[in-house]
Amino acid sequence: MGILDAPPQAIEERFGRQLGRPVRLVERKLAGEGLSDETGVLVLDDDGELRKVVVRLFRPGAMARHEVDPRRLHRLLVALTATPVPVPQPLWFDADRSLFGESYSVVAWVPGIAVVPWSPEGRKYLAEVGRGPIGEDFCRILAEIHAIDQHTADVGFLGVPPAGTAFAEAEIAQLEDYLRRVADEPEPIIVDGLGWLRANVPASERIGLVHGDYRTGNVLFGDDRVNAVIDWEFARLGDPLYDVGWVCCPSNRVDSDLVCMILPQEEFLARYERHAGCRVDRDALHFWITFHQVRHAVMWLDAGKKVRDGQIDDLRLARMHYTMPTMRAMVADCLAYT
Amino acid sequence: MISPAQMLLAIRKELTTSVLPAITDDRARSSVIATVGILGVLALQVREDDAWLADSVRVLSAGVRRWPVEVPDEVADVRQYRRQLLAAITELIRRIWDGEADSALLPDIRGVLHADLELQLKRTR
Repeated sequence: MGILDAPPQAIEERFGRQLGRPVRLVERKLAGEGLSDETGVLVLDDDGELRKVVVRLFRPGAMARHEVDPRRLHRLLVALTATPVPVPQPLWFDADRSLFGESYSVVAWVPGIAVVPWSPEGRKYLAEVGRGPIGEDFCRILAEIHAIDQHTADVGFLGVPPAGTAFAEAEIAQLEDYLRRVADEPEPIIVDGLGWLRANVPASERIGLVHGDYRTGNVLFGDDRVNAVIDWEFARLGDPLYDVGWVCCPSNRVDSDLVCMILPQEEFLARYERHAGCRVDRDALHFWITFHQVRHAVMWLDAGKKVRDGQIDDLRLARMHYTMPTMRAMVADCLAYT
Repeated sequence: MISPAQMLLAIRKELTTSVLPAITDDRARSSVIATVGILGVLALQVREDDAWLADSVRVLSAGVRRWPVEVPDEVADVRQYRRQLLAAITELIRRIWDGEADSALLPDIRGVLHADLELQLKRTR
């Protein structure tokens, strides 16, 4: 059961009720970007006007699902519409599974290019646009996200961590628990990484909104600007360096000199610092880069386990299983293994 | 671990259910159909290559014998023995970071794990 399986009449009835007027389903297709959730683009005839919406179906078995609350995600998007951060307009969240088999959310479709950053054409595109205003937007918008907190927007429901080391310590504890659940084999390098993280926790200098998966693959690009930031399911209030570390993470650049394939690291950091009005502590940055590299490796284990157990049959997740040695090597590099 | 046969069958299923229905070119369709058939046969013949495990076990056990851990008894199943060695190393690393073992061991442990990692990487490149 999925977006393509629901009877058109049922979609028209439910969507019409949510929108407060009758609509007719003209077209629907799956989008290719989502890794484990299902995303579909539906075209509706809304009183003679064609209207595109994006439906996201939340699969319970998706990777790192313990970090995701679909209802909270919708509420966050509603809160963000009152901020400068460009997001798709949220329309509704429906916990009723009878239509598509799972709960789902609906947002307005946003025009723009979605890039697969590690594809040859994606890398070429990002390296080119990074030199122009889009590269600047990528840095500025991240700083704008981090300027949001419970005082400036209705995001307090995400939970405000105390100042100091509490946020990082809670993230490590969650990661340790995640590893216990998904590792079938002993993972000494990952455990070494977690031990190093425990011993090197930096105090958070700021607490703000954190996107949780900010990278060029989660941005919709217009001709000369970023049209929208998408995929907010890992958002939380916490240390902004969580996002900065993820942007700079080796697994987001592979063998490229450019972070997220878009900008040289020091240029990205300099632009981010200028927009955020504060300096990025390089030791703390190394902590968060290492954190994400370890987290990523654990997510890869999760992906392999789900494929092996038959919970998911997505070949892209299966591919992750086969690249586990590379993920371990990236953790080892962060810890300066020789 | 995902077995090679399980993976080949998963690829076969993906080609059949997702790729083939989207292809309209006759030549491309016939190639995919042939691939599906070949993968079905290979799934019956393929098995995991365990040859590298002997080198891995040699590297890991040499390290473990130098460190203050209970050395696991060698067992005939090399994969199982490797798992036991990794478990012993993992436990030692935990103890080091918990302050219960000498942190000066860490560079040597990392050197051994790095050598084992190189063996893993050789299988993927």
